[in-house]
Amino acid sequence: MNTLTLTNCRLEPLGSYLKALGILRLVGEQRDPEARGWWKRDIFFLDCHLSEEELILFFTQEYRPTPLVAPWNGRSGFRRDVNRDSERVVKRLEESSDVRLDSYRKAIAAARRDADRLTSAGLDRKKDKHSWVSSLRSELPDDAVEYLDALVILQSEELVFSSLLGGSGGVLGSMDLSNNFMQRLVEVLALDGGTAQMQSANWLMASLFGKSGTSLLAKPVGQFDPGSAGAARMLSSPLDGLVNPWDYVLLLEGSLPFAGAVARRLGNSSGSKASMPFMVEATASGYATASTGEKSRRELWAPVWTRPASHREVASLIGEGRVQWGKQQARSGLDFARAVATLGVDRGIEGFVRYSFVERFGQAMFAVPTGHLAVRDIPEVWPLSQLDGWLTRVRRGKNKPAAVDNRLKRVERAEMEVVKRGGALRLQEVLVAIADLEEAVGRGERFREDGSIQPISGLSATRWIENMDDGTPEFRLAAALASQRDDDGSSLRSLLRRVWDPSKKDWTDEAVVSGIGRKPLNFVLAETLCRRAIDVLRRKSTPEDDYTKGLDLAFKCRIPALLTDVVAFLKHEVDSARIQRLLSAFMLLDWRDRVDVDWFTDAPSGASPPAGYCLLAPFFHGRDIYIGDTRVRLRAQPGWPRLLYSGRDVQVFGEAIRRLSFARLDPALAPSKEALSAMAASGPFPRRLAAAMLIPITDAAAASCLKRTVPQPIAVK
Amino acid sequence: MKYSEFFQRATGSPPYPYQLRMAEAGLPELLEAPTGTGKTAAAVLAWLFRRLQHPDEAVRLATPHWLIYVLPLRVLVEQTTGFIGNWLQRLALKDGVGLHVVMGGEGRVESKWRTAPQREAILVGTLDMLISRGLNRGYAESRFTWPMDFGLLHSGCQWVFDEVQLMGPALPTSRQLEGFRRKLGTAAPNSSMWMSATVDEELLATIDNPTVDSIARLSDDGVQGGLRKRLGATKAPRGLRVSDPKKYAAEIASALLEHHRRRTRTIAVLNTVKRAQEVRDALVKKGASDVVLLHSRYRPEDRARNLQTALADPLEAGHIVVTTQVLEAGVDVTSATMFTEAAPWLSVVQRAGRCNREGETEGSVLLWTSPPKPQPYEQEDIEGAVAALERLEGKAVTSTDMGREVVPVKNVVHSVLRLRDLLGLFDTAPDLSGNDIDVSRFIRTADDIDVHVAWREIDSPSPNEPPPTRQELCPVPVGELREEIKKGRKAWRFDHLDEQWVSSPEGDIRPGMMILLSSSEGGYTPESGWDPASKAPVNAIQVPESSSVESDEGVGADPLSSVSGPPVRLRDHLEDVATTLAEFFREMATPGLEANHTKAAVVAANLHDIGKAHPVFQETLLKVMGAHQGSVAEANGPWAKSSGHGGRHSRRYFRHELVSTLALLDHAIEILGAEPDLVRYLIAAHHGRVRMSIRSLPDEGPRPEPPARVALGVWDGDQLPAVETFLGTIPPATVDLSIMEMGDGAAGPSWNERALRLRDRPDLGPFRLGFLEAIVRAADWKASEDPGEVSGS
Repeated sequence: MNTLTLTNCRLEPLGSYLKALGILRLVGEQRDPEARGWWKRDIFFLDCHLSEEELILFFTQEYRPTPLVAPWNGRSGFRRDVNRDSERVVKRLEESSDVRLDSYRKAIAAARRDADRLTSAGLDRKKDKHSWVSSLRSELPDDAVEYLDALVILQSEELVFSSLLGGSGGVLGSMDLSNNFMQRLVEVLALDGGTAQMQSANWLMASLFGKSGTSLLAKPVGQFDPGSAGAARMLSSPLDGLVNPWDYVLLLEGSLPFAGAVARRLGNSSGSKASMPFMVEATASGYATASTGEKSRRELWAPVWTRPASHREVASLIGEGRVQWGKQQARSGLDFARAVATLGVDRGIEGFVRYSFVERFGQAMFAVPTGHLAVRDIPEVWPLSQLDGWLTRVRRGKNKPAAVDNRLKRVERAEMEVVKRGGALRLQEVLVAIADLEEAVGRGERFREDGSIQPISGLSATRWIENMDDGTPEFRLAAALASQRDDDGSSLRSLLRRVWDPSKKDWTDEAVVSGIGRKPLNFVLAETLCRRAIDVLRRKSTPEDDYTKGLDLAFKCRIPALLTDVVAFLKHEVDSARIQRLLSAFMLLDWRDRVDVDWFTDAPSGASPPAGYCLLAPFFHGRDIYIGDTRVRLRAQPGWPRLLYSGRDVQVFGEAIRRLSFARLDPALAPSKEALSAMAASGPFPRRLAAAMLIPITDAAAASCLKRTVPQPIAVK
Repeated sequence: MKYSEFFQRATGSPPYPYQLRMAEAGLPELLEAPTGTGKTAAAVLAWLFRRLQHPDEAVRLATPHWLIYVLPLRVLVEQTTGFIGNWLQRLALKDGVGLHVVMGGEGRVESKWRTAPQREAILVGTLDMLISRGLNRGYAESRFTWPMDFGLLHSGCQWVFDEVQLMGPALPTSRQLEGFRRKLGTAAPNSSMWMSATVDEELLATIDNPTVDSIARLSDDGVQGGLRKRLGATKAPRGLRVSDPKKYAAEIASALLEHHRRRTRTIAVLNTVKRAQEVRDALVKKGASDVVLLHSRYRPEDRARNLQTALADPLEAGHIVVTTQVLEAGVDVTSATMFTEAAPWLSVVQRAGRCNREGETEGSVLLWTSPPKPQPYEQEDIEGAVAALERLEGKAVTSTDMGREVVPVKNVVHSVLRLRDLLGLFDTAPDLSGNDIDVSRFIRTADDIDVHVAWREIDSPSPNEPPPTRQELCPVPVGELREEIKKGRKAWRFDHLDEQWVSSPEGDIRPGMMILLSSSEGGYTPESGWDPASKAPVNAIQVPESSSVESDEGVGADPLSSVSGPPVRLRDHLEDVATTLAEFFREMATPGLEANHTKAAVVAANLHDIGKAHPVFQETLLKVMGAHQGSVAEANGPWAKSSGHGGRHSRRYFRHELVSTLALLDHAIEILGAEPDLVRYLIAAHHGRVRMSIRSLPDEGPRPEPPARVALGVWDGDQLPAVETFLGTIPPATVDLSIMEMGDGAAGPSWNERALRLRDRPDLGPFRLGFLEAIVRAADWKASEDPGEVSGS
C-alpha cells in the first residue's frame, strides 16, 4: 500500500472536499477496492496500491466517468430542436467510440429512448416533470440513477431538489451541471487527442497535488468555490472563474455519495428538503460568517474522519446522514449540532465542516464555509433532549406573542452555547431561559390554548442538577430551595409559578405568591413561608390543636443546603438576584426522584449562624432532631411567619424560647425583652430570617443550631 | 399418482388442458386466463404436484419448497385459503404442507412458518403484506422481524401473483425483485408467475427483468364445456341518470330496489367505501332487509361474516350486496342484476364478470352511472369507460366482447424499485424517529395505502399493553386516520425506544403501522366497518390470554430469554440451536450456498448467545429465577433462559448478541472457521437489532466512569468470562467497541465495513446473507419453543 498525500484536496472549499470523496470513490470502485482515505488536519490522504504516477495514469487513461444526465433540464443538451454547445457535446459523447464512455453512451441512449416514449405519450417535460423524472429513474442504467438521486428526491407528489447540487435539479444559474460535466470530460479524457492528454495530466497533477505550471481554463465554477468565483466576479458574470476541469469533474463525482441515503428520508412527512444527508436547516443563532444581505438557507455538515475508510464505508456514513437526537430527527442546525456533539461520537468522527448555502446575486447558490465543529462528548448536552418535546410544541404554536418568540430565540442561543462549549454555567442559562419562556407562554392565553401547551414537565432533576453544579453557594441554595416537594405535589413551584391545574384543565390564573423575579428574594421567600403556614393550617383537620402543638411547615426536600451557605445568605454574602434566577429555573425540574449530590463533605460546625437563626431553625425543620440519643421535635406556631414578615422578630423569639421550655429544653437565653432585642439587633432583618427558614438544612445542621441555643445536655423528662 | 387423478381428488373435477400442461411443463412466468377458469387451482395444485408427487425426483427437488400466493385484495384471502385448505385436506396433505395466512399482527405465536423453514408451505396474503416483507419492511410487523421474512421469502419460493391488472406499482416491483434474485443469487432457486385475464406484456418488462420467458394462455386450448357457457354469458349495459346529485345514494338505492329480482343476488359496486356505506344506508332506509355491505375496511371476523352472507345462496327475497373494488377480482360470485359506477375500463370488465357469471340468468342488466367524483380514479379513465358503456348501451355482450372495446388509458408512471433501493433496504437500522425508507410507493398508489388499527378499551395504554393480534386489526387509509387525529381522535403507536405506546400525532402515521385507538371514541361498527362518523363505542375484541406473549417490539426486548418450562442452561441452548439448524440444512436444499456459508451459520448457532454469560444478563436471569448470589442456581449457570418473565436488565437496552459478537473479534479464535466475519454478522443479527452498524441509543442511562464507548447497554472494557460451548471453550474476552467507529482501527476494519462487504460479496449478496440470517434465527426460535426436545438434553 502507498500512502498518497493529496495536498490539493482540502476540507475547504466544499468543491475540494467533494473532490476528495470523488477520488476515493473512483479509485475504490474502478481500480483498487482496498483503497482507503482519511483526513489529517485539513488534507486528504489516500492509501492504495497505486503510486502517484499510476494514479495519474488511472485517471487520464482508464477512468470511466459516471454518466451524469439530466434530460429534463432545458440546457442539459437533450433537445433535438436546437443545436447549441450543450447539444453538440451530448452528440459528441454519443458518437465517440472511446471505451471509457461506454456506460455514458448507454445512459444517453436510455435517456433519449425515455424522452421519445414520454413525448409520444403526450407528456410535457415541464408540466409533467414528476412523471418524467420518475420514468427516467426506472429506465436509466444503475450508475446513472445515482446522480438522479443526488439531484432530486421523488416524493409521491412532488420533486424535492438537493441544495448540494444547486437546489433546482442540477442547474446553477444558466448552467446545467451534467452538461458542463460532459464538456469538461472532453478536456480531461483528451477526446481531441494530440497534446490534450499531456495537458490533462498536468491539470490532474495540479488538482490532486497542487503542482502548478498549468494554465487554467476560463470556465464556470459554480457554487463550490466562492473564493475564486469572487475574484472572477469583478470581471464579468458571477459564474465565470478560472477552474481546473479535473476539479470540476471530480467534485461532481464526489457529490454522488450524497445520494446514498436520499430514499431513507422519504418517510419523513415534514421538512423534506432537510432530508438530504447531512443537510440541515440553518437557524439564526451561531452563524457568524453569514453576512447580512445574504439569505441563509441550508447547511451541509461534511463529516471529517481520521481513520482510513473505504469508499463503501464513507458512502454508508453519508447515507446514514441522520444523526439521531432523542427521538426527533435532527432538523434544525441546533438539533443537528446537539446530535453530533453527542452521538457523532459513536462513529469516531472527528468533526464536521459546515457549509452554508446562501443565495447571492439572485439565483445562484454558494456554499460558504461557516466553521468547524468538533465532535466531543459533552455531558451537559444530554439533558437538553428533555426539552425537545415541549419546545417543539411551543415552536409549532401559531401566532406566537413577541415575548415568546424572543425568549424562544434566547433558549436556542443558550442551547447552542452548551453544544459548542459545554459547561455547567451555560446549561444553567438554558434552564433560566426556559423559565422565562414558560412564563411568557403562560401569559399568552390564546397561544397556549391553541397549541395546547402545558407548563414544562419531565425534566429529570438528577440529570440536570449533576450537570449544572458549578460549586457556588448560589447554586446550592437555589437547588435546595427548589428541591422541596411534598408527596401530594405541593412545592415551591406550585406556590411561585403558574402551574397546571388538572381540575380545570388549564394553567392556574396566577402564581399563588407573586413577585418572583421582580421583588427581592427575601420578600418572596418570606411571603412563601407565610403562605405555606396558611396552606398547612388549612389542611389540618383540627386547627385548634395546632396552636398548642405548632405546625410542621417544612416541605419534604431532596437536597438540603449547607449551613455555611445559609449563613452566607443571612449575612448578605451571596448574590440574591442570581439565586432567584436559578431558583426560577430549578423549580421546573421534576423533584420526585432522589437526587444525589456530593457537597456534604464539609462539617456544619464550620458555620456560625446568628443566634436568632439558631433559635428558630429547629422549629422550621419539620423532622425529628437527635441530640445524643434524645429525640426532639419542634414545630413553629402558625403565626410566626407573618410576625417575622412584618418585623416582629422579638415576639417570635420570645415565643420560641417559651416553647423550648415547654419541651423541657433549657435555653441558654432568658426571655427578657432586652436580651431578645439584642438578639434581634445583632441578627439579620426579620424578613430575611423568615426567608432563611424556608431553606432546608440537614438534620445534623438543625441539631447543631439547637445545641447552640440549648448548650446544656438536655434535661430528661 | 397421475396429475389428472391428483387434481380430480383435490377439486372433484378433472383439470382443463392448460392446467394439465402447467403440471407437466412447470409454472410459466405469465398465465393468461379469464377469471373463473381455475387459475388458483392451476397454480397451487401444479406446484404441489411437482414438489411432492412428481415421479421425477429432479423435478421435485427443482421445485421451490414454498408457494407464496399474492392476492391484490384482502377479501380474497380467506376464500383462497379456504379453497387451498380443502384441497390439502382431500389430498391428505394437511399435515405435510403448512398453510399460512400472512396478514400482520402475528407475533411469535402465529408465525409457525418462520420456525419451520425447511417444510413445504403455502403462504397466502395480500400484496401489501407480502411485497412489503419482500422489501424488508414488513407491514404490520415488528421492525426486528423484517429481516427474517426478507431472508425466507427470497429463497426457494414460487411466487404467484394473481390479478396483475390490480397490482399497480407492485407489478414492476415484483418483476424487479425476481430480476434481482436472478442477478444477485439466492440460497435456493425461486420463480414467479403472474396471472391475469388480459395483460399487456409490455407492462411486465422492467429494466432488470425485461423479458417474459414463458407464457401459457387458456385461449391456446379452445374453449369447452362449462367454461364455454361461462364465457358466452351476456349482460346488457343500461345507463342510469341521477337527477339530483345531492340524492345520489337514494336514487341509486331506488334503482337497485326497482331492478332487484326475487331469489337472486344483486351486486352494486361503488368506487369508494364512503359511497358504498351511503348506498347501503339508503337501502336500509327504504326498507330493504337483505342488504350486506362488503369492503376492505373490516376486522377479519366481520369481513368473513359479511362475505359469507354475501356469498350465501339467495333466499326467497334475494339479497343486495353493496360493495367496492373488493369484489372486482377473484371472488367467485354471480348476480342477476349488477350496478357499477364507471371506473377504469379493466375494472368495469372485471366487475361485469360477476354479472350472470355462469350464463344462468336470462336478460341480465348491467346498470351503470358516472360517479359524482372521479377519485380514486383519473377523470380520463372514467370518461373512457363512460364512452365505451354508451357504445354498448342495451346490447347483450359477453365479458370477452367488453374486453375487446378499445378504451384509452391514462399513462401512469410507477416508481420502479432499483438495485440501489434494494441494497438500501437491506439495512433496517432503527431510525428512531420513525424515518424509514417508505416502501409504499413500490406497493400501492399514494391514495391507496393503509395503516392497521385496533380498538382497545383504554384511555391511554399502559407500557404492558400487548401488541394487537390479527383478529383486532382493521385496515384504514392513512389519509383518513391522519384527518381523524387532526380532529382530536387519540391514537397510539409503539415507540421502540421508550418501549411503550406513545400518543401519535397525525404526522407520525405511516403506511403499514399498527395503531391503537380508544374504543370509546367510536369509528367502527361490525356492519359498516371503519366509519369515522360513528360515535358509538367500538366493541373491543378480547385479547386471548395466550396471545399476550412478551412483545418483541422494544429495542431492549428479549422474549426469547424466558420460557414457560424450567430454565435452560446456556450450553444446552447453544447446542439445541445448532442441532436444529443442522437439521434444517439437512432437510432443505440450498444449492445456492457454498459449504463455507452453511458451516458459518452452524458455527454462529453454536456461539450466538455466549454474550449471555455477561454478568448483567446473568444477574437479570437469576433475579427472575429468584436466585441469589452464591446460590446453587448461580453455580449451575450460566443460563440462557429463565423460567418466567419480567426481568429488566440493570443496563438499559442491554443486548447480549452484541457482547457475543464483540467477544469473538479476536482473530486467534480458530473455531470461527473460514468465514469469521460471516459468523460474527450472523451472531450479531440474530435478534434483528444489530446488523449493518452498531450505534448507541440516546439515554443509555448511567455511563461508565471514566467515560468509555457505550452501545446498546454494552460498555467498552466489559469482561466476559470463559464460556463452555459444544465447539470448545471460548476464552474470557474484553469488550472492544472501537469497531463501531468508522474506518480501520486496531481491531481491524470497522463493523460497518465488514457488514457492507458481506452484503456486496458476489457469492453472498443481500438475498443469501438475508437467508442465512433468517435461518439462524428460525433455528433459535424453534429451539426456544421446545427447549431440550431437539438435542434431548
